[in-house]
Amino acid sequence: MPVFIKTRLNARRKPLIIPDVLSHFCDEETIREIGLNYRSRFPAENSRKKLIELLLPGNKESKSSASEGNFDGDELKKHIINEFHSNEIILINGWVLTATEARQCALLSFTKRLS
Amino acid sequence: MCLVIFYQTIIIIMHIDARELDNNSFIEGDICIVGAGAAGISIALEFMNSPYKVILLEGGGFQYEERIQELYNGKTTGQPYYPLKSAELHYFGGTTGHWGGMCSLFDPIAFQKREWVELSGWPITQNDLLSHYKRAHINLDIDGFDFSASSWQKKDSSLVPLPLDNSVVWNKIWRFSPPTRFGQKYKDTIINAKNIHLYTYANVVDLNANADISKVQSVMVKNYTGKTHTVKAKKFVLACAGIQNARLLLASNKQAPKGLGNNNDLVGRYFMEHLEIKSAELWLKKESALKLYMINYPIVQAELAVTPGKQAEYKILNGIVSLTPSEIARKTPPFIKIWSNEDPRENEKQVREVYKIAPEDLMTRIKNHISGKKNEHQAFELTIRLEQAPNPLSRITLSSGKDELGMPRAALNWAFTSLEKKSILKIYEIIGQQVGAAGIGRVKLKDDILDGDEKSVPASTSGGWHHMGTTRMNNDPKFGVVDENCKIHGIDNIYIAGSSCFPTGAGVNPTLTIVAMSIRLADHLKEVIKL
Repeated sequence: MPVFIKTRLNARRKPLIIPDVLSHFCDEETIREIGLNYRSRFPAENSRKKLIELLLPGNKESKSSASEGNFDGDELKKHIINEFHSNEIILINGWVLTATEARQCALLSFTKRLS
Repeated sequence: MCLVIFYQTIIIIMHIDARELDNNSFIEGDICIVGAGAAGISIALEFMNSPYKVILLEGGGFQYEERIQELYNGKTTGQPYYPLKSAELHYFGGTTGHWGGMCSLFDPIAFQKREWVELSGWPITQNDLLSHYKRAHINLDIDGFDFSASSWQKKDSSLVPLPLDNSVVWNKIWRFSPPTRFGQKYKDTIINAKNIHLYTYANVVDLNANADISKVQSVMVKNYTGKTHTVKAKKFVLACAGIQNARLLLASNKQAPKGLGNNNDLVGRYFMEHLEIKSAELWLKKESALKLYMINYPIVQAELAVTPGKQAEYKILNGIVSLTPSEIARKTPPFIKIWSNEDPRENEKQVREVYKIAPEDLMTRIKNHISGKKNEHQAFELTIRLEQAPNPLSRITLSSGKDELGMPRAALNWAFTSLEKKSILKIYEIIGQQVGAAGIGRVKLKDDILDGDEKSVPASTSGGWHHMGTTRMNNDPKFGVVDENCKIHGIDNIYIAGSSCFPTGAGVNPTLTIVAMSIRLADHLKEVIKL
């Protein structure tokens, strides 16, 4: 269940692993839980490497530094909007999401706690 | 009947207390309307000042009485439901004595045959009913006939719709009756009408037909004084609401063992309600008032509805979704939890306490609107109001117990198909997809709707006190109890008014449509009674 969050995760700081829209109303724990559930439902994607590949197809430069935050998240946001328009949605922990933002959550769940 | 001399003007008050009549009295009129709720009163009003003598029979008096209300007691099985005793009101004015006043049109798709909804399709269209809808607005004191969100936005630019694709999700508009209490508003009009003869404490317990059951000759009236009376008329209209209409037909089984009008075993079957479930949340990136969607606006409110095209594409039922700020919604339990007393007055108190509703809802809404509070929120609870798929196992039957007047009590088995659950999940998914595409937030479904069982619904599932379908309308007697004119198949002179005739229930409250259909029936009766 989303909660009122005193300190929200800053998607601008780590745009690859922090889903922008969810970060407005979900705490880190909630986002991690979404990520863990996604990894368990899609075991073929249950690795950090695989998730980065899927999030950044064909972008080698970004792949090396993406998780460090040196990455422009605007393209990802546009991609997520496009996924919604194409009705490419999945239900994870009750949330109506796209695969891309669910993968962001999954990637976050591989990292150390940020907040 | 009462004669009052007032400043040399003689007023004949056409109200008779049936308890005061001599036992075995005989009453005769042109039209006999059984039941004085929104439907029965609306038909009576249409006949005011006509040359026809109208007998209007009301089982109760002019206010709540425990002993009268007890006549509605009955058993429920299946999906948990409200106590039948408190699910409708039994006095002049009927359940308008405590209704909320929410009115909206049944959409065109509600009347259409939908291949994916078994037994859907009305023998009339929305277009056939539009002029009656407009007349119903007058009965219900609704100001103007405007159900267009864009029109309301032009009138008030602060009524901003969510930026969703309206070819997928559109804004279904509600209008509000004050709410009109038919008992209070129309009492004087009815009892002062020269040709309307209102009998209170006149419970109809049996319908008597001729030998070949092609015509109803009279109805038997009883009350708890032990008196029995007979009412004879050319035309009869049952207007006792969705449960009692079926009960009366089933209980009239001396000549027709399965009940009157029940040759095809349809009476009482296909009971439908609106499933009302608080089952998701809308989370926005930015706090917003969403004024268009809030019920505290005095005259109009929108809810989110899936377009007919998308309903067809996904083969789902019609449902609409309301928005309530989550911080308020979390404090308000579902109706099924708080409407549990057999005394409807206690339930009403409980609802007012929980929802902090003042006695006159309209005034509350106006005050809230005028106060101009910011009222911006980030989270909104989504409550779906879904039509139910016609289901023969969802039904009213007679129970073995009898009421004080010797009439078998009603029993309700409320049951669903798998289409309800599928539709709920898909509707939220569609709204979630739209909210995501608009980039304004996300939708989250609650855990209890995601149990993986295709038929079960959450324990919090409530109804709207909307009892529909038990004398369904279809021009083929194999599929309907009444025809398109609400006349019972095979019997020349008996009609049914009210939501029991609805073949499907749409996604909105039925009162406006009940009144519109009643006016339509009155128009028809005016034609056929001339013959």
